[in-house]
Order: sequence, then structure tokens, then C-alpha cells
Amino acid sequence: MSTEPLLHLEGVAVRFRRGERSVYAVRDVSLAVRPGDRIAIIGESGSGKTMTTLAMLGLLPAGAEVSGTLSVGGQRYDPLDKGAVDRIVRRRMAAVFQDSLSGLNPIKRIGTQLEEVLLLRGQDAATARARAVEALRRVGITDPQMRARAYPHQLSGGMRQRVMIAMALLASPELLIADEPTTALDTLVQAQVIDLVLELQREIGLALLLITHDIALAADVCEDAVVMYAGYVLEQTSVAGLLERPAHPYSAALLGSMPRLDSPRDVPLQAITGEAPSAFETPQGCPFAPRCSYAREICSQALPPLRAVSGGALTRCVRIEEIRHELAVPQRLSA
Amino acid sequence: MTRPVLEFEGVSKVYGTRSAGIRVLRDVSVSVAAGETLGLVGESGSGKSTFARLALGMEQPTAGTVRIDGKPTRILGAGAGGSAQIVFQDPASSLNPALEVATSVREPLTVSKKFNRPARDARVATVLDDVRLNEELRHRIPSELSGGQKQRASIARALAALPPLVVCDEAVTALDVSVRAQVLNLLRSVRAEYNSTLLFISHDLSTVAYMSDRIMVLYLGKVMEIGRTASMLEDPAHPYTTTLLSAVPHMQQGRLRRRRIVLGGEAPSIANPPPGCPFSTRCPIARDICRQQEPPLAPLANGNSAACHFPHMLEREAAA
Repeated sequence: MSTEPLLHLEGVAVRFRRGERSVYAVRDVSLAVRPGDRIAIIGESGSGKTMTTLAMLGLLPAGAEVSGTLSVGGQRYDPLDKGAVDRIVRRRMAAVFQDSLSGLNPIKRIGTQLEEVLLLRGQDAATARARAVEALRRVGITDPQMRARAYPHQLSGGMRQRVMIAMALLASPELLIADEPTTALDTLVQAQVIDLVLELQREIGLALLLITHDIALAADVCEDAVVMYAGYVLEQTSVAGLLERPAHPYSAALLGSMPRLDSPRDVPLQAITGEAPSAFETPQGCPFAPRCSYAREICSQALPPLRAVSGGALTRCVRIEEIRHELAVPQRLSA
Repeated sequence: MTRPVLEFEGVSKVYGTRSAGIRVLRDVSVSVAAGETLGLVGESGSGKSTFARLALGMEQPTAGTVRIDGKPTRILGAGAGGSAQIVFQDPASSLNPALEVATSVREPLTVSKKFNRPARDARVATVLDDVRLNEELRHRIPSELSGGQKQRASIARALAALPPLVVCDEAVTALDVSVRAQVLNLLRSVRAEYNSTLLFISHDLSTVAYMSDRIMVLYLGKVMEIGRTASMLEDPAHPYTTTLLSAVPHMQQGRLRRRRIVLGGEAPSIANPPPGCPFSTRCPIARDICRQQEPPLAPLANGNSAACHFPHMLEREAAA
């Protein structure tokens, strides 16, 4: 495709110095998001998905060091340079986070906070007020005029997350980054919020980057998936490809470790043994090798490069051609 | 017929005064047999946690009786006299941060009368073996363990004194996906070994389904549906159950995939439940009778029970 990526990351690494040592939160992430894309970044804690997100948004905590390049619409920016972030990133990207309480000022009315976004963009007060109420209506909040006068604590978690989405959309972004937007919500509210995001995405033609630990949620919402582990991208593929023909043993193991409604109750889940590596240690070879049931000596000798394999997937697994046929999810075979 | 370990008989719980209180649990009757796992499903405010606290003897019912091994918790008192143990979402909350985990695991044994002093060491070693915490790990303090290891330690602590009932309250929710499966498998194997009775509470329906023999669905403090896991998943009777199942991500529904039902609005407050069926304000198939008459929990042809005037109807529509 020739469309210019909205957001482009190339070889991005994020590290923190702790005395003599460096802690790598992100080791090597390359990613392109184009208009209308729906991409999920899937990872567990320590995978680097959150720090990658914060780097994209220029919200990294103090002390972070970034290498690699980030650009929005072809324009490179330094995620640690606040001015550049305001100029280049904020106009085109908006974000919704898991904790909607921390994103809202507890002592200001919802409406006021929404209006501020518009006032900052040079709109007059009357227009700002009208658009704020309209934005609340747009995200499915009934009686928006009245709700605009509410304080954050007077709204339920699902409602607050809708307000966060409304606020993100007021900035007319081209890319919405949703970082675990529904993790704190009840099942039914989660379904409502996801439906809303998808509806808006389709309607406005937004690109969506969903950051999540939940591979099943990612599969419901997105078309493409990036699977991260220990700061690396291990696999990048279409969601259909990920589910039907995973190109990395880690992706396959994640799929197999998840219970399904139709999982046979007398069969143990396919557990992944051990724990993820610490951010202090730089693994010699494939970071997943110590937990991988397909690992051979070659896997721990050198870090495998991210390379293209059949079916359009990118993978860091050196053995994938030999083992891919074995990576089917056992639960699916029984279905 | 195996003897019931946990019995709820017409249990209601009201916070505040009887006249002006909030009824968080209304007329719940259920009995859980030895070795059985009952899954508890419901959203925030459904009464799940209150049910668990009553089962643990941490609270006493306003009406009705809760029994463990035939003895009312009213008599057993808080902690139900060591009869019930709990595994929390946050493993750190059941482990003393200053103590080696082996010491924390031993504590319930010093309270229980089942083990004399010399037997305690052996019991601690056995139960730590059961949860696969090796010799080195068991002498660490909680902050030196990973999340999965800590949760294994708190499971060991819960099982140490061989309690008749173990409550798992969102026990794997905080764990990473790859570690979750380890802990679930572990719970299954220790459950089999000790013939433990489990109350498994989670907002994640596919995990509850995987772990439970029977499932009880709560909404605004009322039992909407209760029954065998397999038949409930195949053919849920209550529209609320159907709605919940349809909201599970498609991949986790497998061959039980249904069309997603998205409800409008928000759940009513438990302080102010609607007249008639509590679900009637959001139910896609509610009729006038639903808003006027509260349906009783009634047995169904498949052996399960549901509190609905039109059982199985939404499911049939969703499948069509």
C-alpha cells in the first residue's frame, strides 16, 4: 500500500537507567498504522506494550531514553520533546486509558472538561458548549445536557469511559489509541464500550490502535495484531492468521492457555511454564526460548530477526517453517 | 447423594435497617456438595461478594441460614471456624509481607485443631509441593516472588488446613494470561486431590465455565438462573444469561458462538430495584407481566432453574 502511514515506528527502544544498569522496557518495535487500520498490540505485563504506547503519545515518564525513530504523517518527532509532541502528535492522535478516573479532573464538571479541549483549540465558548453536549450524545450518553453538569465520581465506570472517548474524539484525531479501555469494566459494559468504539471508528474512518492483554478481545475488534513479549515484537500478522495459523509458538501458547466456553472441563489448559524474563536481563537469543516447548539450541544462540513467512505474517521464530503445522490450538481441533 | 458442604437456605442480606436498607441478596437457596465447584457469575452490584462473605461467615444473613458441613455460620462465627478459606484477587493481601511464605502457609494450621505441632511441618511441605513452590521459593518473602508464585502461595495457605470450602474470588484475574492457565490447572489438580468444595467467582465467564460443575447467575441480588454448566451454556434459559454469554469475545465462545446482544442503558441501582423482574428494565424480550410480577425461580425441563416468565425465549431468538 502506498498510503503514507499515520504513525510510523522504526526500531524503537525505551530504556531507563538504574544506577549502573539499564532497564529495557521496549527493545525493538517497528510498526506502521495507516488510515482506517485496526491494529491490536497484544502483550502481557512486561511485554513493553504500555511503554510503546506512552512513547507514541509522548507521555513517557521522566528518565526514559528513547532510540529509533517515530513519525506522524511522515514528520519525525522526539517523544521526549514536549513542544514537538504538542505540535505533531496531539493534533492527530488521541488516547483512552484503562483508568477513566485518573484521566478526568475530579473537581470539574464533565462538560467543563470537554469544553476546555475545544477552547484550547480556539473555539468560542458557545460553540464549545454545544459541541461538548453533542459529543456526549454521540457516545450514547442519555440526557447529555444534564450529564454535562455531573462530576466524574457521579458517573459509573462505563459512563466515564464514554466521556473519555467523547473527549478523545473532540480533538478530531485520525488515530485513536485505546490502552486496555475496558479492562476495569463489567462484561456487558465492556461489550457496549467496544461496540461504541467500533461504530465510531467505522463512521469517522479513524485508525484504531488497541493495546490489550486480551487476545480474544483483540480478535473481536481488530484486523491486525502485533504480539509483543519482553520488549520485542514476536509476531505481526492479521487477526485471522493469528487465530488460524499462528506464526510464533508464544502466540499459539497464548491461544491455547485461554479457556473457552466450549473447552472440555476434564482436560487441563495448555499452560506456559515459567515466567517472563526480567527487564534487567538482555536475553542472548529468542526471549521466549526458556519457556518454549519447541526451543532448540539455535534459539538461544542469537536473537532471531523479525522476518516474513508465508501467509503474510512477520515472526521472530527461527524454527517456524518446521513447527508451524504443530502450532494449531488443541481446543480448536476438538471443536 | 453426597452430603452438602455449603448450604444457603432462604438467605437474604440487608445492609442498613430492615425497613430502609439495601437488599443486596434476596432469598437465595443453594446447596453445594462435597467436591463440587459452584461458579458465581454477575456484574458489580449483583451480590457475588456478599454471597462469598456469607459463605465465609464474615457476615451473617439478615434472614435465612448459611450452613457449612451442616453447622450454621451463625454458630461457627467469623472465618466459619476455619471451615472456609478464601483466595483473593490480590495474592499479596493474604500473605504477610514480612514473613517467608512458608510461615504464612503454616498460620492456618496453628489455628486449626486438625494438625498437632509435629504434623504441621509435614503438612506445610506437602501443600507447598502441591502448588509446586520449590524449596528455595518457599523461604522467600512475598515481594521476592512473581505474581503467579504469590498466588500459588496463597492457594497453599487456603488449602493448608484442609478446609471443607475454598472461595476463589477473582483468584486469577490479576495474573498474566500465560500464568493464569498454570494456576487454573493447579487449582483443578488440588481440588481433585483433596475433593475440595469450591466457590469460584469471576467476571470472566469462560473461566467460570471451565472451572465449575454448576453456575449460579446473580442480578441485583437475585438468582436469575442456576444449573449444570454444560446445559446452561448450550441452552441458557434466562435472557440475562444469554446476554452475558453473547458478550464473551467470540473466540472464547468457540462452537457456542451467538449473536451479540447489546443492552441499552445501565443496570438499575441495587438500592432502587425495579418492580417485577429485576432484569425487566433492560431485557430485550420483557413484556408487561415482567414489569408487574416477579417470576419465581422455577425448575426447567433440562434440570436447571430460572427466574423468568419466558425461559429460553431470547436464546431461541439469538440462535435464529
